[in-house]
Amino acid sequence: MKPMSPVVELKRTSRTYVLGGEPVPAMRDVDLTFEAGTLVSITGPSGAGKSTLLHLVAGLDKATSGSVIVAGSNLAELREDQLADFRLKSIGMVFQSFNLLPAMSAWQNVAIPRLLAGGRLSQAKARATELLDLVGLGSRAAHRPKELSGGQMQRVAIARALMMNPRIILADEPTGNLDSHAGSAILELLRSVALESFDGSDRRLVVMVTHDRLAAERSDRIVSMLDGRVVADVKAELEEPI
Amino acid sequence: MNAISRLWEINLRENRQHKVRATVSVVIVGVSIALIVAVFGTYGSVTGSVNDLSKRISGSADLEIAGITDTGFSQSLVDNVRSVRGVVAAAPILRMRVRTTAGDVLFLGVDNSIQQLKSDLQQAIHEELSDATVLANTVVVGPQLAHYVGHDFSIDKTPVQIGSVLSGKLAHEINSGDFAITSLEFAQRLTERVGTIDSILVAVDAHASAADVGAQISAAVSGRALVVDPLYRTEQAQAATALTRNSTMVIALIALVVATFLIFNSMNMAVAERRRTIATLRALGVRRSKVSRDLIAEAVVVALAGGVLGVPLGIILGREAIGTLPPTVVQSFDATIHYVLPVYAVPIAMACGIGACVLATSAAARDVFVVAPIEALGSSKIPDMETGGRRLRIIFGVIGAVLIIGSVAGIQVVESQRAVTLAAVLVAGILALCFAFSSMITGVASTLSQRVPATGELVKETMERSPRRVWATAMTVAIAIGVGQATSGAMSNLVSSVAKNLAPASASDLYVTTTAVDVLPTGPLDPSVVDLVRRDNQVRTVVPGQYAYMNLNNLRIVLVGVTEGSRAVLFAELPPRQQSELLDGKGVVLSTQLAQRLGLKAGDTINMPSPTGVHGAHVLAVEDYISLDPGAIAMPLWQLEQWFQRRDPTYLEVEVAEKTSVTDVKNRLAEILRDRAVLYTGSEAAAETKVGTSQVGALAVSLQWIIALVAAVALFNTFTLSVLKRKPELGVLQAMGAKRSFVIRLILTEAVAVGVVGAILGLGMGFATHYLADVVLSATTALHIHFSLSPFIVLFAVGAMALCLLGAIPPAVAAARSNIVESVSEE
Repeated sequence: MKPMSPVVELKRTSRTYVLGGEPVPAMRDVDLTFEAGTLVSITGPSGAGKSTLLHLVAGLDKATSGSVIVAGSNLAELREDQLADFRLKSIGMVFQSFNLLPAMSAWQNVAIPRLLAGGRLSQAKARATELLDLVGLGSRAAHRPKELSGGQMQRVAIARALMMNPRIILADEPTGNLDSHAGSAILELLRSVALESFDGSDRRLVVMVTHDRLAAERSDRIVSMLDGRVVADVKAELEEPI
Repeated sequence: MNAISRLWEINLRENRQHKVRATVSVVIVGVSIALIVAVFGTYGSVTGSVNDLSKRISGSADLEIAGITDTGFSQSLVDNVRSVRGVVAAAPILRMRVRTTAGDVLFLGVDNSIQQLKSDLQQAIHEELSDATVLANTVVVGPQLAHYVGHDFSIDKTPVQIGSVLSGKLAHEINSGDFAITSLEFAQRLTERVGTIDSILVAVDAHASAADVGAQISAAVSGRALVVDPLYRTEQAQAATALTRNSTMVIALIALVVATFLIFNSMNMAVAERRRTIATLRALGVRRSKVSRDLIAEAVVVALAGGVLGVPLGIILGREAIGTLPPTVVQSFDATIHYVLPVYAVPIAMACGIGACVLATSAAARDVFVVAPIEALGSSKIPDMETGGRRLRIIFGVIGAVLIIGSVAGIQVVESQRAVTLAAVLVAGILALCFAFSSMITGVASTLSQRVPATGELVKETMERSPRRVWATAMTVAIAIGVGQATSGAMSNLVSSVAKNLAPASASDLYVTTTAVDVLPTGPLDPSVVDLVRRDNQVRTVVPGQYAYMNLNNLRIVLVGVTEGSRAVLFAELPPRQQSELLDGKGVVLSTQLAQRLGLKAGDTINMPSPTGVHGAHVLAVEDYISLDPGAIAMPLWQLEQWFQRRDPTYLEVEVAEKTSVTDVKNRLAEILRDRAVLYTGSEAAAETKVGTSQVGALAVSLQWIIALVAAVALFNTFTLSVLKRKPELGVLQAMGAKRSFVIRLILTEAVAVGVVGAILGLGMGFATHYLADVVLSATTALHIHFSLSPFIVLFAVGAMALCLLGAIPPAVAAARSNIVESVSEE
């Protein structure tokens, strides 16, 4: 097995919130590394710290102590605008509720990150339709979200997350609003995004927060959290890329 | 859940949660109600005070014999009146305002015959009348002058003794206790009007017809006095205040139209936001009609809350406004104006407020009928509602077109004083038309936004998703700009047209009169004053003239007596031939307003009653004359003196010698004449009339700023709510990598696009309303108002953008600074 270079490193990372004047530790002294080419599931009951971990890696939140190094950048050292750039270029976000803009077509939704980077939607159309082809929605590029099923909307969201060719995809309960069939298809897609040279680029790290035990079992690695700590970290054998 | 519970728990709870929007609605309705109450209160006070005084003096009198001018008529006519069959009592009265130590005071001279009339005045002075010595050489005063007892007191500079102070409820109520009364004979001596009276109050036998007796009295006095209803002064007061009353009422009506629209906007958005709530209620079994009725009940609550704010505010405004009425309006009446709120004022104002809220909400409540109960069960996002169904927009389009055409056509057919309402009708029509074209308006705004780099495409999507909000925001801007431009434009044109009309009068170097510049000089100048001014070696020319009030056809009009060289407005602009004809006594000149009221034109004959009989005068010309009075007649001074037995001039037009300072001459003469005369320059006189005109405009300008402020608050509220609603979406964009500056630009792009569309609509609305307002003002003032656009009109467009940015920047900054995780986590 070829060793993979870590894409994400958390070293003694903690995050404590203050609620009503009382400190509430959401994450305590977590040490984790994630490599590219893996689909990682973060599981645990509510309040375990799963989403906190995701937010820290995405640069949406800052650790109280310890370090979070993502794609070579120590997130604590980045300013607000630098964090925004980081998220735009290095991270692709997939949400439970899809969060597509209802008055835009599928390809326009996929092209939004290009818009945020200062371009125009039309400039990104070719790339957007290519990504939609890759996720199996090439024929639905001109459709609006209300004309798509839940599974199809999540595929559009995944295509959007890939628009800027990020190294890391972070998915928060990506199958939470889908039936089992659609959810299974999404998991398969995420796996292929992680493991394959999906769109001609290097393999990626895909980190998925999920309550779904079955979904977690389809991952390469399952990190279980409880009360802000990692209580289990089970790795499956990584498949060699084809 | 009964209706009241439902209203409290659901509708009013929503209002409590959206405090800013609810407060804006209450405030705008409150302001409208306040303005209506204020207008009724102000002008109701004028007519109410005049009516009250007339009633308290005339008591049981059926008829009054009144002087044609303020110089009264011969006392000898009393015997003529008493000799008429059916007359059981005829009480002569001297009644005038005199200059006293306490300022201008109502002065009454009566004799014992007043005891035959059952009146408050008679009851108040009953004891004093019983003792002939009390009133022989002293005056009795009302409670307002009580503090002058034992002190020096003078009437027309003649010292008099105050014999007693009337007390009791009636004494306080007659002219608010502000009066002095004495015997008729003493009053005549004091005021140098021996043998003259102003009025005879007549009681008619119960078995006789007052009309028949009146006709006989008319014959008996041979046109030397007028036979009128004892309350005729009330009608005159109504006519005298008609222009200012109607002009301020139209401003109140425009405020009401604007309030209706803003509430429509607010309820429109509220219904859209409550769509899931409405669907839930429907799913639980509540009928659509009940939901609609609850919305309308909510509107009534808003109106009532507005009334709680507006009625007291209106009363305060009305009380304040009484003190700022143009002196030329109140001068013509001898009553002291005290605050009287007509009984109909509050009910009408509240009915207007409730009507506006119910009308606005009824239109918005139609959307309840398109909400399906099944929407309550959906988890996906509910699309925003269109501004209104196609059918509704067509209806509004038709209504709008009818109102606009009606307002323009109405100029030709509506009586001039009522024509002022046409401006409000036009505004309502334009707003209705804007609703009909709401889809186009939102389409233009969203297309415009797309032009902005980076943020434009996202903003376009947002605006297409929320057409109702976009339209409401654009229209709020349009209203603020339109009303502002129309009111300031019309007032500016009015003031400049007034200045142009008064230009001849302002060309005079100096005026010498007995009254201040803001009062029409109708009192005679002392002949010694005239001599002194003529003999001054720095005075080049002196042109005497007279102003007098005259009763004509239930109107109180102004007579202007002119001589050669006069710069009086009705005379100076005549061609030389007509000036000669007038000075030769071959005719008179009417003001346009008076000619319209009497239905006369040049070439007709006007019958002028006078103390010397009825005179028929040829109408030489009809000229524009800006005045708050119902009209004016110019005639040669010598003829005025003859016909109306008024000897002395009431003002002098003075031209100073060449290379002489007008101010120096004015100051020097003022020092010499001291309190025998008042001097002011021609430009001061013109400026004072502009001030009087501007007082009417001040209310319009205040309204402009109120609406701008309300619009700014409404825009702030709209953008804040929009940002709150889009919080998850904005959070997602930031999670994807959008910078804070991008989020701010996103919101400001929408604000700018809406601002541009709102500015264009507003400028168009303002232009149309401004033009119509000028046409209406021309009709109502009988003065040609020249329409012109201000070069500063671009400032209104700038104002539109400023309003939008003012409303959008705070929520935009707040949105950019929101916690991304919290935003994304929100449903």
